Formats: sequence, C-alpha cells, structure tokens
Amino acid sequence: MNNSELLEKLKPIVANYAHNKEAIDDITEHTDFINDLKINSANLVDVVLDIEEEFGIEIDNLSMEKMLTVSAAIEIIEGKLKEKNDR
Amino acid sequence: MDSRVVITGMGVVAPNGVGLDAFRKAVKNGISGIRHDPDMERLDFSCHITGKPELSTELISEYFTNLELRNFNASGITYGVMAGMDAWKDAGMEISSGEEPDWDSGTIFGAGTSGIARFREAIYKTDEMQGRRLGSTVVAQTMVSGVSAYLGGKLGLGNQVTTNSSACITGAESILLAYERIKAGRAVRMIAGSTSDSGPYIWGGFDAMKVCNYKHNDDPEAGSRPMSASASGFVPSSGAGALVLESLESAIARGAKIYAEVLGGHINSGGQRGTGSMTAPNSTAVQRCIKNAIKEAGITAAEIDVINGHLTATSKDALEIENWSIALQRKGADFPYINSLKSTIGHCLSASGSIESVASVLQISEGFIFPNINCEDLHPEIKTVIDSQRIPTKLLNKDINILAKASFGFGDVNACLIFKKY
Amino acid sequence: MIGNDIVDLLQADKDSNWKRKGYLDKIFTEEEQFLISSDMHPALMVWLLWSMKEAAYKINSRVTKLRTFAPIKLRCNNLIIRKCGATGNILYEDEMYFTSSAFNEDYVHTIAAITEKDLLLTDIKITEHTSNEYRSSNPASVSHHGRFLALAYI
Repeated sequence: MNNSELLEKLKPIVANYAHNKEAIDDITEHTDFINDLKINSANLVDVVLDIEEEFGIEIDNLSMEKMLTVSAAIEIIEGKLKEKNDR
Repeated sequence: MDSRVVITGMGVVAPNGVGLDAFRKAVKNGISGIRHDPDMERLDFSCHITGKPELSTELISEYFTNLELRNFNASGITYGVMAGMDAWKDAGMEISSGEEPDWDSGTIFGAGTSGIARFREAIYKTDEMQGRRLGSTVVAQTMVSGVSAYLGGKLGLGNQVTTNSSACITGAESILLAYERIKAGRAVRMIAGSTSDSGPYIWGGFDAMKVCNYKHNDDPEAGSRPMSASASGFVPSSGAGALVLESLESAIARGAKIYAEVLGGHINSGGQRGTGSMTAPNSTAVQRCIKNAIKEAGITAAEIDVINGHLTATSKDALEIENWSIALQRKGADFPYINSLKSTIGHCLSASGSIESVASVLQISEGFIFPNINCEDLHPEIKTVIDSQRIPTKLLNKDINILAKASFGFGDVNACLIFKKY
Repeated sequence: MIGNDIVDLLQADKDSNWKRKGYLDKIFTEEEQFLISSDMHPALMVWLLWSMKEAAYKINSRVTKLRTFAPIKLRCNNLIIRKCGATGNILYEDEMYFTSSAFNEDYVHTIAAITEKDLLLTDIKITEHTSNEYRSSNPASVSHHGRFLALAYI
C-alpha cells in the first residue's frame, strides 16, 4: 500500500469525526486532525480504534501520542504494517 | 524454606484499657479512653482532650524495681516495657533467669521519642550548671532505643534488640521487620511493638500545627471522630502495644496458643513528590503500598474481609477510603468492613500501629468486628465510595479470615500488613 | 497558569461511544477505569476524568509548547467527589496540577492550575456560546463544546 492508497483509506475514517466537513475534501499529508479538521480530542481515540480495525494493526500508546496529523498517522500505519508483515 | 510466622502473645497499654482483658472489653464495647487534659488546658493549647493509659504505682512496680523507678520519668518506656512483658508472658514464655541470654529471641520495639519529660528535666539541670547531678539513668531513659534496651534486659533477649522509628507507621513497621527476620530464619521469636510518650511536650507540636481537635473540649469522648462529617482533627494520645511473633514451627513445638498468622505486608514512601509532602500523602504511593502488601501476602484483594484503617479523624479520611477502594478495586457494598480504633483511643502516634494491630488480631482470633463510635454523621464523601453498612457502629460477631491493617505517617510513609486466621 | 475544559454531556453522548471496545483502555488507567465501572453514573465519571485530563493538558502544552495525545499518561489522583463537584490532581510526567470540577445534568467543567491557590483566584463564566464577543474580555483559558462556552479569568 503506498501513501496515496493509505490516505484514501484514512479519509472516510477521519471524515466521520471531523466537525469541519469542508476541510475533508482538501485533506493532505499536512492536515492537522484537531486544528484543521476540528476533530474533538475525545474522538481521536475513535480514529485510532477505527484505524486499528481497518488495517488490522495495534497502535500502542507511544504511537498514539504522535497521532495528531495525517502524516504522522500514515507513518505509524506504515510502520505497524511493516512490523506485521515482517513477523 | 522460609518460615511461616504466627502471633503467639500480645500485650497492650492503651488509653481505654491496660492489659489484654480490659482492652478487649473496651474495644468490643466501643468504650472511649479520651479525657479532659488539665495540662493541655493550663498550657493554653487549643486541644484540651487527650488519651492516656491509666496506671497505678502498684501496677508499675510489678514491672520495674524500686531502683529503676528512682528519678524515672519516661512514660513511653513504662508503657512499652509493660506491654512487651505482658506479651511475653501471654506467649507462655519464661523470663530467663540464667546467665545465658536467649539467643533465639529479640525485639524490634519502635518509638517516636523517648522520655521527653525526663529530657526536659535534664535540660533544665544542665542549664542551671547542675550537669554533674543528672544521675545515671538519663541516657537510658532518653535514648530512643530506651524501650527495647529495658525490655531486652528484663527478658534476657539475645537476638536483635533495636528500636525503629517512622512516625505513625512505627508500630506496623516493627511488626513487618520482625516478621521478615523470623521468616528469613535469623530469629525464632521477636517482640514487635511500639510506644509513645504522654504529655504536652509531645502533643503540643501537633496542636501548634492545627491538626488536633479543639471543638470537643467539653465533650472528650465525642472528640475523636474518624470518618465523620464533623471530624475536625485528631485527638492526641499515647500507650504501647506488643506482639510476640514466632516461627510456626516453634509455636507448634511449644504448644503455644496461636492468635493469627502474619502473611506479610509492604512499606513504602511517596518520596514527598506529587501531592506527597512532610504531612500529606501521595495517593499513588498509598495505593501501591496496599497493592504490594496483597501481592506479597499471596492473596487477592477480594479475600480481604476487614480493614483496620489509619483514619485519624481529619479531612484526609475520605481520601484514605478512596485509596483503599481504588487499590482493592472494591466499592459500595462490596467493600470490606472497615473500622478505626482511633474513635475510642485517639491517635497514639508512634504507638498507634501496634495497639491497633493488637485490636486487629483480637478481631481475627475471636471473630468479631469492633464498632466505630462518633461517626453517626458519616462523611458524605465517604458515602459516595462505600456503603455505610460497611462501617459498623455496633459490635458484629463474625468470622474473619483475612484482615488488612494500614498505617500512614509523617514523611509520606506508608505501611500495610496482612493478617490471617490460623 | 490555568487551563479549563467543558464537556457538553448531550453532545458527548451523541459524538462518543465510550463503551466501544478498547476505548477506555486507550484513555484511562486501571484505577480510573475502576472509578468508572463502579460509579452509579459511569458516563458522568468518564467525562469528569476526561475534562480533568484535558484541563491539565492545556496548561502543560502551553508551557512546553509540545503537542501530544497521551491521555493515559495524565493520571487522575486524589479524586474526591462531592455532590455537584469534585477536586483532584493530575499527574503528568514530573508535573502535578490541581483541579476543581463542577457538574450538573448538562455539562462537566474542570479548571486546572499549577497551585491550589490559583484555583481559588479563578473566575469562571459558562454561557451558551453564540458569538465571539468574549475575546475582548481577555480570558485566561477558553473551552467550548456543544452548547457551552466556558471562560476562565484570573
């Protein structure tokens, strides 16, 4: 899965929780979940849980700490997918 | 293999009862030992009520020689020696009269201060250039290990003879230290206990910190109010408690009466970090102490039937209950029964842990839960955590298998012991 | 320095399913989960603990200029619940914050401060938020959620 494929899969997940619906269409790697998409921080947990389900991975607390932007999310998902395949 | 450790003898000198029989009766019936204290009033402290063991000169002279009693003014040593010797006798042990000490027996007898009234006299004498007339017993009476030294000599103890000191956890700590020594095979039996001096020179400092009750000066017995909405500070008191801890093997071999088993416990400190300070607890450390005690005793939190709390009758009581609740993961009607002996004896400071442990062990061995008094107006914050029926206000006759006893003290220190029916 | 956080309970109920598998594990410590599971009003406890964490996090991120999402590392301690409020502490790494919370049927609101004294000095205004006029009043901390706007002034 390359970055743009990952982004496409990520979009509907974050769109679910974004209060700023217009910003969804302009989503890029630089998009910030809280500042740009206005995702409520209590819903960030839902984003993390949805990603875990969607990609069949487990996101540890340390990774979750960094998950505030699209690029961080993509990096973490890629890392976890790689770990999974290496095993 | 590590030895199992049991309790085979107990002695107590408490504000509401001197000797095991009088104490048992007072504890079971919720009889208060808190009285008006003319000294505290005369010296203009705000708290005029305290708890002191009532001792007659005749009784004291059964434990000390006339020579020892000359210029003797160390209340803590008096209490400690009496409790320790009573415990020894209660355990069915002889006082060795031969030349050879009893190498297998020792004592860890804690104290916060020693002979503070005697110390005052010595200071005045010294300042009046009367130093040469101090007499030969000032050191023995004022060294903090005076109590264990007197006891060791009277009983001919040949194992470790020492004094521990850790504020209000002193008594609980002495039991755990003695337990560990026997468990490791370094002693066969140890007198564990602790004592606390009486008088304004020891209590005044607490009054000055405004942690003592001053609202019940004309109703002393209602003054110590753990867990009550109207709790407004602790009532200072004094006394001593002692327990003979012994390896199970030795206890069985002697055919000794076994009160209960010590399963273990834990001691830690909050390091005065976070919310912890010299005087305030760090809840994380408190919870950790309780959890580790359970782990070290090899039981689960669900097995605890009764808690004997620290519960001093200050604003921190609700927090203590919550810490227990979180540590045990038990709440409401599922919470163990809990009581505080301080409702009838006040806060015996360094002696509290041992006197309260004696009461705890009596509950296990005789199957009762003593009543809390002065908490008819239970604190509403406590009610949000546990059911009020878990705080008995009447004597309950009930079999107890496991009891947890905790003490918390100045310096952000914590101790929790686990006792089990044998 | 203070931080404040308001949770509109109606909005939270609509937006978040805290009963979802794994949700509480990501946010709350074992001790906090016990407080939630054993409370008569678990949802209120969820949002009370959450608002404590958020309020303390706001101070921390302002001081350190660091943004992280580590709710589990912000640990609630010394929580004492009263009829319509609660006090407690939040421990985060080496820092400690004091919190004071108020709650009713509609919302939970928490202010956090570095010292206990700062809590007492804080004025709080909670309104149904409609406009941005508050900006000129120069609040020390602003929080909005759902129907409510909470402003804290020192």
